[in-house]
Amino acid sequence: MNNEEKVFKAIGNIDDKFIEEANVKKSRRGNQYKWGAMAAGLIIVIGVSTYTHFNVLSPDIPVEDSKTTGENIPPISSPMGMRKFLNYNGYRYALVEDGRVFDVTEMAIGNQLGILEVDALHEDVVFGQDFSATFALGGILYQLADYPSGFRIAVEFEDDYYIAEIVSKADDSILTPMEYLHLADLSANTVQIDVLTHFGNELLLEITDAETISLFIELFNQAGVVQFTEEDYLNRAKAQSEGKSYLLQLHQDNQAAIYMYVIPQLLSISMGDNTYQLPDEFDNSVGELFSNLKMVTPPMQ
Amino acid sequence: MEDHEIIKLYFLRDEVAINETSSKYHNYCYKIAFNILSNREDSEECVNDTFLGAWKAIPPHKPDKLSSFLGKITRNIALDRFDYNHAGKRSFSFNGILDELKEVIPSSENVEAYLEERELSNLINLFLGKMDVESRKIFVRRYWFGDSIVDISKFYQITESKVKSNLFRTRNKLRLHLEKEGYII
Repeated sequence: MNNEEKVFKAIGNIDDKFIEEANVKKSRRGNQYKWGAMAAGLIIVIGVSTYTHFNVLSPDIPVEDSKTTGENIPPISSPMGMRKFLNYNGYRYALVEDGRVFDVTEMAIGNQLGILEVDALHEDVVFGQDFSATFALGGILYQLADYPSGFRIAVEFEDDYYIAEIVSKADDSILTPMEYLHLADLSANTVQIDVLTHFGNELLLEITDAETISLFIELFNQAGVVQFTEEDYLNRAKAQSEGKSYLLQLHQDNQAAIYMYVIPQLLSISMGDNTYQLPDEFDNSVGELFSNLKMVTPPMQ
Repeated sequence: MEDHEIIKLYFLRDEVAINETSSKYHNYCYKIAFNILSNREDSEECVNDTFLGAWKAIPPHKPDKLSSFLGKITRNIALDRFDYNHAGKRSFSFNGILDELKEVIPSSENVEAYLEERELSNLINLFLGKMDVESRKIFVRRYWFGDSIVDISKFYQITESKVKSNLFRTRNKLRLHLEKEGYII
């Protein structure tokens, strides 16, 4: 056998993942983003959505929350315009990385779920109506194999694929921490929790011990839905400005990650668009993990 | 039918598995065979042998990815058949692919005889893992699927010249990789 035939034959045994990867037609724009790359965008999505609750930039200015004012307006995720979101199956989904294109080879696309055929901004559209969206109208929704619960879904629009993630109930009714955690399947899939500074620019602590990870998730499960007052929001903003808010990165066994914000001092946890009250047990059980952490104040004040 | 359902049928020894495999993967396997053999009849036989091979292999084998599992069988059978016909007229397109691979290990080069095909595969796998995604896809389309330059350019919606230059660079890098890893001496 010639050398070139040896090489051709040897190429036959390459890893299946390379074959599968090459067997997907490339989208026109063709940007390559791995699942791991969701991190930065999620920080933006959640970070700015948190901004609407915490008022990071100007803690002295009173904050109005959409729920307390009765206005059903989703918080924007982009300072440049309307937040990119869609409503499906009773949940509001935010576009990950503010609507970045993902490489479909990084995802196992499942069943078709429907078409985004309703303009969420149209005055005749009922708030939170299924298949309404502010982005990718006409796009097709697909299930993702890693998320049978629908916590994350794919949107195909003009040959590009986007990822959307549940951030709230579509009608702004209560999404309990338990339901959120169940949809994200965090208890089964979390393999590591990283504690970072609020802006995610510095890793402060890595939690890899399975027992501690389970404990964290159990405590998140016990978090309560409460009506926050304006004072609460101001306290959170103050804590944040003093560097007492931390970003939690929950690494999943499918290489993706879920992000939350926690302020241990106030027993406050944010998941998706919602903020919840952690049980007192949180402080007793894991509070000391945070007590010696460096406090990094936000860079822009 | 989903792959896992088809594989279940194989495990139940239900011959519907072969029909389902054929309806889903006939074209996929046929193209791989035809890219090597350039002969319709031979390629059809090759695909039928692939499905028979799958029937024999599953169980005990339980492939993670049915498509690449079938593709690998097809490729091996087509390559054997190609060897059989080697003395005769070669497939023009496949000949082009092999000529390109001469650049990776020229015939004047010696290779470590003790290194088995599997080890060479491991080195290539290692190399592919370090490549950028686009170059890797183009490489795999050309040298695993045996696609023509035109087909690759259509598949990925890029120009033919880009495909060619990309492959050229990748072949050079692979050659350097094999030298560094001691495969080419």
